[in-house]
Amino acid sequence: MSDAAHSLTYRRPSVLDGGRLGLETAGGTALAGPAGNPRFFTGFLTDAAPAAGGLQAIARVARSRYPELTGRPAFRDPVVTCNGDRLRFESFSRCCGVYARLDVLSGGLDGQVHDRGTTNVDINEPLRRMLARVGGRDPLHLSVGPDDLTATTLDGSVVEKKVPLPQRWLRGFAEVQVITAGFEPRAELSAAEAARLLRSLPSRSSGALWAVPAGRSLRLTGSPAPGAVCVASPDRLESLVPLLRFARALRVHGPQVRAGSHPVASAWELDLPGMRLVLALSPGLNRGFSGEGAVLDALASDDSETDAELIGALLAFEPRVEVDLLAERSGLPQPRVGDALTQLGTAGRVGYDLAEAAYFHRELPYDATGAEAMNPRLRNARALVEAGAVHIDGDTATVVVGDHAHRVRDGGCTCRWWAEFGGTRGKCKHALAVDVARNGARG
Amino acid sequence: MNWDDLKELIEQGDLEVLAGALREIGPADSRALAKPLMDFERSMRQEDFYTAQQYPAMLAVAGAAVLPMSTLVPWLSRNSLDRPMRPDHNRVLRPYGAPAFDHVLALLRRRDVPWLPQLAEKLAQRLRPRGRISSHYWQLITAIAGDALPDSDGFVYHWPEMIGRDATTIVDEILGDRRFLTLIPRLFEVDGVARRLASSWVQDSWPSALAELAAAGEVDRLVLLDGLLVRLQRGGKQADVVALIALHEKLSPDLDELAPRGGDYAALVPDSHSTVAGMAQRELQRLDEANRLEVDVLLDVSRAMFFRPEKKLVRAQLSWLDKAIRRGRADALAVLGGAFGHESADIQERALKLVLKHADELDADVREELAEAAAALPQDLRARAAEVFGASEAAPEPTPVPVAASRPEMPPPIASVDELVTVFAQHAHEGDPSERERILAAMVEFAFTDRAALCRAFAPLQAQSPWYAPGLPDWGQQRNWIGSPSEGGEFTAVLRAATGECQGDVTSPIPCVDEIPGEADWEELVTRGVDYGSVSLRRLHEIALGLAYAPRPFLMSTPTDASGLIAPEALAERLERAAEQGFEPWEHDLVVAMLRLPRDAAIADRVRGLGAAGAQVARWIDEGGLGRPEIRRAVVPVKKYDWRGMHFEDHTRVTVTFPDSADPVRKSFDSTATGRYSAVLREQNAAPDLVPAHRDLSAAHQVAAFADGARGSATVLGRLVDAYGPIGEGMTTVLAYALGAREPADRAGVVDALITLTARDGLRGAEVADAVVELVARDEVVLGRVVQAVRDATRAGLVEFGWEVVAVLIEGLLPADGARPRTALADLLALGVELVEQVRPGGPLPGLAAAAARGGPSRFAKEARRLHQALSAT
Repeated sequence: MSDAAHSLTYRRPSVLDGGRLGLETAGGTALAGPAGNPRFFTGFLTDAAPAAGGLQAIARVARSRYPELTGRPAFRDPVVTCNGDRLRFESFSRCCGVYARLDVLSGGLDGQVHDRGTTNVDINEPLRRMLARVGGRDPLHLSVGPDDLTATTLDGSVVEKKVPLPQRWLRGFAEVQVITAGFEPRAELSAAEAARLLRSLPSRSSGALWAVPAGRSLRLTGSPAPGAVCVASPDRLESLVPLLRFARALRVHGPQVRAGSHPVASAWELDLPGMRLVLALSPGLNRGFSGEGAVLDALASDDSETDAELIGALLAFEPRVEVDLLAERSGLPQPRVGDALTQLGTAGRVGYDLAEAAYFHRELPYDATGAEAMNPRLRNARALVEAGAVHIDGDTATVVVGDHAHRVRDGGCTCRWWAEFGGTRGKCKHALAVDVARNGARG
Repeated sequence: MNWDDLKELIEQGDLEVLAGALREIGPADSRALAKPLMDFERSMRQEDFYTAQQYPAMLAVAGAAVLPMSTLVPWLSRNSLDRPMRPDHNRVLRPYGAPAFDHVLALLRRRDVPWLPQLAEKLAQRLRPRGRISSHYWQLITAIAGDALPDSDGFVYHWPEMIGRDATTIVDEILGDRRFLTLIPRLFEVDGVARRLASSWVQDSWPSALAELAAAGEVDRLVLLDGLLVRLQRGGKQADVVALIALHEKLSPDLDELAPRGGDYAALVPDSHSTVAGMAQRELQRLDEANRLEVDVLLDVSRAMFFRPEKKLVRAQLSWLDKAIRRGRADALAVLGGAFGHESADIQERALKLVLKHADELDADVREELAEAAAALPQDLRARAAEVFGASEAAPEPTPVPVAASRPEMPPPIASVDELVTVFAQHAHEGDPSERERILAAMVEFAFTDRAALCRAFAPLQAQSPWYAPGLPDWGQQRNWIGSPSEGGEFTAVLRAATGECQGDVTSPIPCVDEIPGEADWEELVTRGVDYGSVSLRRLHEIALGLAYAPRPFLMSTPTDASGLIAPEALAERLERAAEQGFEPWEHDLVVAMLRLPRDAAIADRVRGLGAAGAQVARWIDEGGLGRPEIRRAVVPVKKYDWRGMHFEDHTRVTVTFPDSADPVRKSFDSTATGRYSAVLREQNAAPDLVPAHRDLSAAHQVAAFADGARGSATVLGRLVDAYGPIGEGMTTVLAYALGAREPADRAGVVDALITLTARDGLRGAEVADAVVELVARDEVVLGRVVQAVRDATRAGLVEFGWEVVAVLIEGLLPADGARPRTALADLLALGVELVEQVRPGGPLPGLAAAAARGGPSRFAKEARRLHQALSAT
């Protein structure tokens, strides 16, 4: 699979100078449609130090590759979304296993919103260093997008960045929204308890650990139980540590688990003055969000695609997507709106806000639509169907791959993928192929 | 020269001659030779490794003379610039002659082309910042680069390993080729280089060399200082930062240099490596003492520092704040509340003392803020704080209610052949006993009812995995190195036998040893050295043999409970069905079934008349089953294998002694009789699911697996917890060893176990603590780890239990008069203070008064006094 290259053009590098933070934007989407260098906000960040720390955490996740930092340093600039009353900065690690989002809420902003939309912001090393120096309590002036007063430097000196855009990275970035949409709050810790917990987590652990609420904190436990949160490779939470001193609380979210569950993803939300920082961790160091297969069923069915188009056209960068409102305006029943939102999530067109338990509209400034359809497992499944490898026999089916065959029954399969993950990472290609073949047979 | 000539020279393998000939050719020849040379190289790459390895050096030289630039970039990366290789008389490839590098360089220069710097740039781009590369490749780049060296990540990454080892050589080499000076800032930018600066042979060479260059004015010191600060801000482990800290020390920036960088140092405090945070703290303090640090930065740094676990750093921060306050920075008092929440009571006390010292300077707001923060202090300190701030309303800590985990449920029997295949694929490699038992039961049942369907269903799996091929394995055909019989191997054999041919019927007995191919070899292997033919291994082997020679419709020994227990009625009903269908169960199958009966099984009369098997079960129950062996903790000689070979070491284990061990089954569990104390896998016996009603017996046999850090023991511990039967010295010893677990995951497992055992079986802390005292006294368990695990347990809600443990440990481990207190004893006492506040026990602890009377500034004495006071107060 060839990786598309993605190029970003900024009018000049982002700078922080004399208490003025100018974040430059690249091409993205605004209310009126595609925009070259959209201008979203000018005004003040009321709490400078936590905001600077939050932006650093976003930058840190963008350049991280767990377990270690070697190889090509190419990383993709964070994505900024202006939802009217708030700014959201998102980034996704190079290893596809950590997602970070800083939501600067209306309480943390004081200024003027010029437009709504999504695009990339330039984060460079000199800027990172200046952000690290921000301390004290003075407000920080912030502009997102080119400042009109100085935008007239027409000497053609622009900043161009070209980064590879692997499909798995794109898919993971989009899919993490769908995965976190199924999370529930599990625990809330004070800053001191959070510090204690993060310190007690082993920096290197071979398998996933679990934590259950105990008193005011979480305690580690040996095996999953209802209410437990999976803590997989907790050293990936390192970006939270510098912000603990500003934090009011740490909230932990996770999906439902039961005794004997396989490792699952988790989300860690730091409540900061006027803002929130969320980190989502994949179920393991060697498991990116891209392979979790949470949406394969929806994609294999192809039913919700037209609904998604309709719902997508109704979105206008709302900070909260109200399902009932959309249902009313689109004339679709609520469950179908929900399915359509899932579909939009995988295409990078909505994100999920755990604190609000609602989707928000944002258009990833990458072409993510094709990426999900190009999901390798789904593609392989369709290839199997086309090759006539699927033989359905009542409740069971046999899928012939090369010189061997797998038996698929109730979504279970005799292949290694199934043996290893037992369906927790989505169906294997054989089970998907059987689904696709059955759908085809039905109509 | 034409291609044939060149090819001959290449095959000849003499670089000198080849290069000499290539020096003569003109541009026209080059163009003509390029194509055949590339074809030749391509064909050589297709050859086997041995042949292909003989040409790269020759090809690099030839390519350098004739190829255009675009082709040369991958060509030189692919082919060797080192010495050529050829086979010696043993046909082993050996390098010979001089490296190709000199010839390649000479030929490239001779061509007089303008693109050599460009070539250097492209070659440098191809270097990846990882692994090792040929030094000649790197040297070629520096040799042909123009006025500026390439600065790609890979090129910079490999620089430190290409340059001299000691500081003087590094300085000389850099000054000898001044182009390197411009690369120096890149050393801090490229990921992974900082680590390499320290890993050269002479530890200090790079930092010294850079400092020397700065002193000589060749490099701007501020460039170095900024570079290292930025690099440190990006984080890293000890190995990443050690060279940078050394460089910082050598640069020793003055106050004028520090002042504008206060923010950079402050950014290092929250989450850098402790040495980096310490360095930042020292420099910031210097600035502050010169009155050149903004008070905001001081406050921010202090807040961040109080979140760090290192006591040394926090103590230093407190004494810095003390000095700052004395110099008039009263604002700093407000942040001290942050240290009240620190984990260490020592730190909490220091912070409080500091606040109390300056109590007069507090204004009303700060006083209120500190009073609120004081709620995080332990009780005795809180009382002292209350004297100054007025009684603060401490929010009562909600004690978590420990909830015992529910017992896992036995999954239902497998209903169809297809389900069996899926379950098998999913669980064959896992050790989950319940799933294994389900698979075994289904395998026996389906092999009896419809073997053809079973074969059909497993055929795809067997095609994929030849080790599942149908048919009983023949141990006579196995090579010795294939290994000894194991439970995993026997489990596989069950599938192989179930899908293979069957030669008998329900009434046939399993043939004797001589009649089964390879069976004698199996017997020999299993009893060689030490007899590890444990009941469960023999049962699995017997199932495989039975499936091939003496099929039965079902197993007697399939558990009805996830712990491994069989409900007595279920066994009675199975025996009745067997009698109806006219067959006798397999021997070990029946033994395992009896071992899995609960202690109070009352089916003797019901089964007595059901053939030989029924009579055997009745006799077993009448004789009291496994009975009540004596299970005692003891120091015994344990087999150890290391470089000295096999020898014995004294360790604490638990012995099992049966009053009468004539019965072979009982004898196999009698460690006094068999001498088995170590749970080397092959000698392991008495797994919890084999004797589920005799938890202590099972635990006694598992002790060795928990010794020495209890690594990876959480699963076994969980199964012991779920088993039944009274808790005795076997189980308490296992728990004591497990409390000393090294890994957090295993420690979490023991906390789970304590919670469940106290709730389900009324486990007493004192019993576990007795075992811990013995093990700590023999240095078999680390006290510090036990304290940590007990603290985790109390945080999870086991407060009473925790105090019982702590009280016994303190009593048992307090040093004799004048003796040195044991490491971590102070932590134990501090945990005691925490617990006394919650438990409020009555009465003093023996020996504590004497320890408290010791006096002196040691932490042990201090904590002993605190605990003594706390106990007297209640």
